[in-house]
Amino acid sequence: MHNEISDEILSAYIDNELDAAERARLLERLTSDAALGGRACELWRLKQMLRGAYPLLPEKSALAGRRFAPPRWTQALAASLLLLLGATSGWVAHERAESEDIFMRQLEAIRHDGGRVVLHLFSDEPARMEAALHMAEQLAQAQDQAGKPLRVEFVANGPGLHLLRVGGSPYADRVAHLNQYANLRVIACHEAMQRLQERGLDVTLLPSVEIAPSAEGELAERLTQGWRYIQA
Amino acid sequence: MSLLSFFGRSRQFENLLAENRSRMWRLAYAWCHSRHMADDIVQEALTKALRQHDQLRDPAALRGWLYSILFNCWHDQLRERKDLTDIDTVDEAELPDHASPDSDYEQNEIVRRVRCEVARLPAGQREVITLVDLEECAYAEVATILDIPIGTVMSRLSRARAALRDKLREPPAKSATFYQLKA
Repeated sequence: MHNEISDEILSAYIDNELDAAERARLLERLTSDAALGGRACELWRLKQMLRGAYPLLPEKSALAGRRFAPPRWTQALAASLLLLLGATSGWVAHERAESEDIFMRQLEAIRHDGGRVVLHLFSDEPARMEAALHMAEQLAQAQDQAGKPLRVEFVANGPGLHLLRVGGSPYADRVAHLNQYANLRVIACHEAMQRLQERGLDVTLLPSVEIAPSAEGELAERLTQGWRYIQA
Repeated sequence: MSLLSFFGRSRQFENLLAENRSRMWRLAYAWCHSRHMADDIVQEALTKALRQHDQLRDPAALRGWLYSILFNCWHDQLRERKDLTDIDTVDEAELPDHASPDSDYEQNEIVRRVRCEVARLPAGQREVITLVDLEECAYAEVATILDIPIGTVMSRLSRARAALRDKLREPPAKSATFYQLKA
């Protein structure tokens, strides 16, 4: 992985299919290679656009007489993809830093871009959850260039939603303690909640966790507003 | 009497199928882009699932098992109808109403464009990208559902995304002819 990173590898990265070693190597490159970050960002947005083009209908019977509308954020994503191709803003990737150096470089990038960052968790691996929490705590205590606290959103969906569930989170106390940071919002994806409920799980969220209609929508909105993105 | 009630031998199994029905329909529609054909494919798949429910040993494998059946039913349709890959088979009945406000209209155009480009992909690529992106299937799960090697899953997915990316980079006017959807 010294030179060109293939689209297959980037696809595997955004689909959460790389093993730990491959992921770590790619994350190093993504941190320092803006063009590569742009390619990854473009693939991610493409994935979200496709999801937005085929919204899930709750009941088949609703098909006959009703037309459905795609999520509102599809348009924002499309604008990003179609008009800002090649833009590299917004993409930072991170796994629990082996060294503080990586975190500091990312923090500098966040400060440079206005001090706003959205942290995304899409995994129920305990190590990933812990890394995300650690990151959230560090970001919440950091300051922007003007000395003000960063604005941080911590969004969980897919398997990552378990972190925010009463009775399902291995780090419930730490999640609860995040509410001490006024500059940090913890947000659960409503679509992911519904999917867990369909499987018969009780989805009661930990205190102070907010709900967004969809994680993709929330992330898309923040990215188009110029927030930095960190995938935990 | 619903199909599920008619064929159902196990209430629990019926419920499981019903829970998966919306997802199966969305997947079938993303493969064929025809509302009526998606109805047919899902009906056929559910019927087969009920008939063959004894074959499902592990309830946790239900989703992949259902998608495999759905995939086989879709390919039965493909064999019967050779015109399915033509772009004018995309069914606009599933798009939002054009009488809506401008912003909705623009958004609908984007959705329409994405769907048209997905419909233009080779069937193998279309199947992989929809299983990964819409159903969030792991690559190994897709390989099992489609009965192909995992390397083929990765290469098809990569080619599909590259094709969509390149097509969506083009100004809308260049691909305007693809908006001629079936009335």
